[in-house]
Amino acid sequence: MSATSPALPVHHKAKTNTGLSNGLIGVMCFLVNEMALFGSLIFMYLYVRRAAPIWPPVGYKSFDWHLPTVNTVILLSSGVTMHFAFQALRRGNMRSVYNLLILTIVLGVIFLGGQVYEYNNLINNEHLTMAVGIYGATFFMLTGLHGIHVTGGVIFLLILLFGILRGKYTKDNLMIPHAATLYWHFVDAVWVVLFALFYLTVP
Amino acid sequence: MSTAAVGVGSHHDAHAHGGSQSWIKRNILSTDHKVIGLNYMYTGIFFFIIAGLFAEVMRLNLAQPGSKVVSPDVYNQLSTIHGSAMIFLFTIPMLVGGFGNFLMPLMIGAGDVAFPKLNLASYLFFPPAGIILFAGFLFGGAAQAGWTSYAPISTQTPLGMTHDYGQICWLLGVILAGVSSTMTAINFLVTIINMRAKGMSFHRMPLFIWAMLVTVILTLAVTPALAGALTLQLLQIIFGIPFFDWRKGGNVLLWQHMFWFYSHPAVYIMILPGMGIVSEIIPIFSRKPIFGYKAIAYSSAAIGLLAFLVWAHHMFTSGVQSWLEIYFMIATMIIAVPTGIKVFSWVATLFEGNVVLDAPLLFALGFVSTFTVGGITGIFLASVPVDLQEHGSYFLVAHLHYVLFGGSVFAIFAGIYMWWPKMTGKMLNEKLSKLHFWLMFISFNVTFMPMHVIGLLGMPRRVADYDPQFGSWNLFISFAAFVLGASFLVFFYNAAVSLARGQKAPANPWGGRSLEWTVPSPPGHGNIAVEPYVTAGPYEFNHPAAWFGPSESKSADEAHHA
Amino acid sequence: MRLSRVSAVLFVIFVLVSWWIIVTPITNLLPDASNHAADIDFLFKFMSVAAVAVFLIVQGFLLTFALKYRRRPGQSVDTLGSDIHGNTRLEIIWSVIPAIFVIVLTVMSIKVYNDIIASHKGAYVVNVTASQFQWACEHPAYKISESNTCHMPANEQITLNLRATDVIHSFWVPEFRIKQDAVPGYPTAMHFIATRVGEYRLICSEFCGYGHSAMYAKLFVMKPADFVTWAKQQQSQSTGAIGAVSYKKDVSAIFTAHCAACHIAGKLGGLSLGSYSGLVAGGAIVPGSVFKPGDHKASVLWKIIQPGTGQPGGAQMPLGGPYLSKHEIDTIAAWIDQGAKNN
Repeated sequence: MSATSPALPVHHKAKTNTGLSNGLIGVMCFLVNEMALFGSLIFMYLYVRRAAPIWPPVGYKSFDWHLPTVNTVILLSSGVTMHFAFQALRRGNMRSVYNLLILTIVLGVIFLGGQVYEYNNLINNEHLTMAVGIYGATFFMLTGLHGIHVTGGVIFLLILLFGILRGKYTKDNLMIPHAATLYWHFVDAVWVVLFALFYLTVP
Repeated sequence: MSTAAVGVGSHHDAHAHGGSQSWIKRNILSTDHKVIGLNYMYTGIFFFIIAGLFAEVMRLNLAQPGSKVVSPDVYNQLSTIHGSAMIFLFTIPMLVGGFGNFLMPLMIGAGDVAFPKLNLASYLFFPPAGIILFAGFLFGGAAQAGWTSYAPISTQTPLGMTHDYGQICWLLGVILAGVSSTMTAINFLVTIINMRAKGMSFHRMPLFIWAMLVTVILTLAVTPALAGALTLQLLQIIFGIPFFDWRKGGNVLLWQHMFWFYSHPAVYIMILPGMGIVSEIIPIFSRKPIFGYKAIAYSSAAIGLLAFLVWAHHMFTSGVQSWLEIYFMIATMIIAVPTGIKVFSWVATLFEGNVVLDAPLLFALGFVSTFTVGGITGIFLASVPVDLQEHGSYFLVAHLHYVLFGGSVFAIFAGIYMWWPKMTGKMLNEKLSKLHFWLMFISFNVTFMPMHVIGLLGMPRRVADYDPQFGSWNLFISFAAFVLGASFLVFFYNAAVSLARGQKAPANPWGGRSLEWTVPSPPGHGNIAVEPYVTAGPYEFNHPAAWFGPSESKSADEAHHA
Repeated sequence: MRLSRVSAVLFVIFVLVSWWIIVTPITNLLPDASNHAADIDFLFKFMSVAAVAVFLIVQGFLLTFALKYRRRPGQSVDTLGSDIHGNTRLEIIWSVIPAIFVIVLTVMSIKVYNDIIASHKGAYVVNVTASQFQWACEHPAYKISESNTCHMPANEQITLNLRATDVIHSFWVPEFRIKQDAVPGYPTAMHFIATRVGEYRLICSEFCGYGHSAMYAKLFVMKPADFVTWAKQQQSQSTGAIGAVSYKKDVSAIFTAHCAACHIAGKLGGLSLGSYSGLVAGGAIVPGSVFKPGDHKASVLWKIIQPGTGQPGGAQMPLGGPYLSKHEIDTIAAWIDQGAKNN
């Protein structure tokens, strides 16, 4: 055994079984994990709702759907702009990348602002909180977890933006931009489900 | 051996020059999957010893009816922590973190796992998880709601206590363990999907890798349900948010659904890698190919799929709707088929072999026997009417231990005896190994077989005291349990002697055919000496030439498949 | 040839021993006392015979192969076994046979299960309430209730409505062969006929905390006529007022029977119930007299023996149960209301 022979550096990207990078598959696995987390909490909501004699429970009224509908449109548009930002990055059209990415971040922040307004309204005007009953508990748990994910996503996109500005991510280094895009689409998709559960299907 | 240290997959070359680094960097903060795997094992064995001693104290208390060795609340704490530690801090980390880390990259011909730093991070979560789980004892009492932590007993402040710190510690500890195993699962899944040696198609993977693949997919998909449930319980205990509080519209059975949606697959997370280990050992020690490679591989996948569909069979007495109970009964019964395929295939592998009855095979065959008992009693419990009698009794304690002790622990020790030379570079004393097997196998059965009977006679489980009519049975069981505990002393003595002055192990002491046997014992940094091109499955004992070779054999393989 | 004869003998011995171990205790020691017991026992016995057979086949082949093909002294480890990779026909057989077997078991189980869950109109109803750590049974038909005992008529369809007030408990009488959890906020029920007159242990089989192992009650299955007599007698008792109560005769007897271990032999929590002066002195946790003469509701002594209240030094006394009967509690209340005299 000759201890002096150096280990050969190997770039996995070049020799993976699938041709995709480890990082990208890792992100996909992580998103599967996240889906399962939201899935289990959505199960919690549906289970509690089905077990209750009536829903919303006595003393509560269903949520107003007007603001959330606007918010849904905003978040979904941010998914579209994110998609085109990534496509622009792949083509190397940097001007479009900056515009679209900044637009995505702004739309994400507007969505969060809408959520904060909604929470404020519910807590102060409708006196709905987590501790008073299962109705508030499930609502704030799921939308709150989603809000945390959107916040994380906005931070992720900001980091991405600065990385692109510094020339770190280009059309030849797409792993992190690709991961960010997947993550943002995931956050969008979760919101659509939550919107349907809390606003569209409650009488 | 001059090529041995040349690694094809090592991308952390800095670590190849171990001598220049501090002891901590080499042995604890190393990102080498072999070091991390061994650390998982040391830590896991440490918790195994503590949780095992807890079990012995419980058996001491149960030796006589009315005995007051420990008070009921301490008994409940011991039983809660015994179960939680054995599952979350020993079996899962040992099999996935320990064996998975050490063996998986070696077996698939990779230099390391996909994300070595993430791997180190997931190990570093594990000891704190254990310490926090035990930390409840420092606050006047650990969790005492059972390892299943059913609401509302778990959300209630325990009798005679003024706070819930024990339960909070339990929740935080299990959450950390869950985070750790999720990170490991992502890492392993990417590694298996993406980093196999050239030519190693899915049908050329060792069966341990198949088992590990299904295990990490299960971990990835179900651990969030546990994390979610634990978070909800934590929020309820600390902030009073009424997820499981029926007085405020919450639901008591919700916990059971979320918990078992994780914990039933968790049983397979604990048994599939064990089945993988046994599938490696039996062909090597029979000196012939495994019987029904594809059947065993696909039955792992089938068990993994069914794992998602059967969770409520733990809740047959909970008051679940009857049509659901019937569905869960049917789904559970089906698991007998893939499990049976595995057992029959292992037995058939011995047929016309040159069976070498060394310690690894003895433990593997011990696994097949005791696990079969656990599987069969599982069919009893799958039948709702029979379960209505046996649920919550010592019959269940016996069934559980036949699956998780007779299954997982036997497989873990089979694996330790099998790969000890590879991991340590030293051989174990074969006579002492066999002594350990016979002591453990006999005392295990003598301990747990009578529990079936006292359960049927009406002794409920999780009791600190019991009806005097079961006195002599329990005394007998306690004596056997002490022998069972003592049998591990043989192993520790054997291990210590081996490490201190054991015979040096060759690279391939058992004549194995999978890739880990091609590297020295213990393997150097970077793992595989020559980049392999795998041209056949790992069990082709009769065709050594058509096995694997350096990259040149690639063209031969392609010509063959053309 | 000789080996197979020996193994055949071992086989038979093993079958008999297993059969004895698994089945005898149930059939002999644990009588069947409900209408479902025979069905469940049959299912269990059917499964246990099949299980023993499957186990012996697997073990038999395992031992036979392991011994027959074991490496002989002098034989090289390098000698290889046969190059067998599988046998499709065999693999199909051992997939299909277990599948058929479990289908049969499932059909049999569903049939028995449908019987177990069927409710019957006009059944005799008992409302069972479980709490840490005791059982209370209410008989709506007679408007009576009992604590830590449960009476029911034999050979009559019975419906138990199960409730839990604090945590999950489980109603289990092993002789009935069925059990059902009592879940807080989620009513459950059991339907059966008690077929055998006698006294049984009603066990809590769902872990419920500190006193779980002590949470059991006496369950009496009575001849229907005897049951009616018992119920009528209870009715008159519960309406009958308690007369003059004596400390020395009545109250101290209750203390001796239920509290002696902790509060007479020892002075747990500083409280001694061995003498009248001990009652007046009180304990360390709640100082002062344990009673307020004339007002039992303001007395610590009365509060602490109430079910489920957890007053004031922690949990209901006697800790972990069995608790005082309603009659005993009422006796103590009457004594306090009559002035709590040292008479």
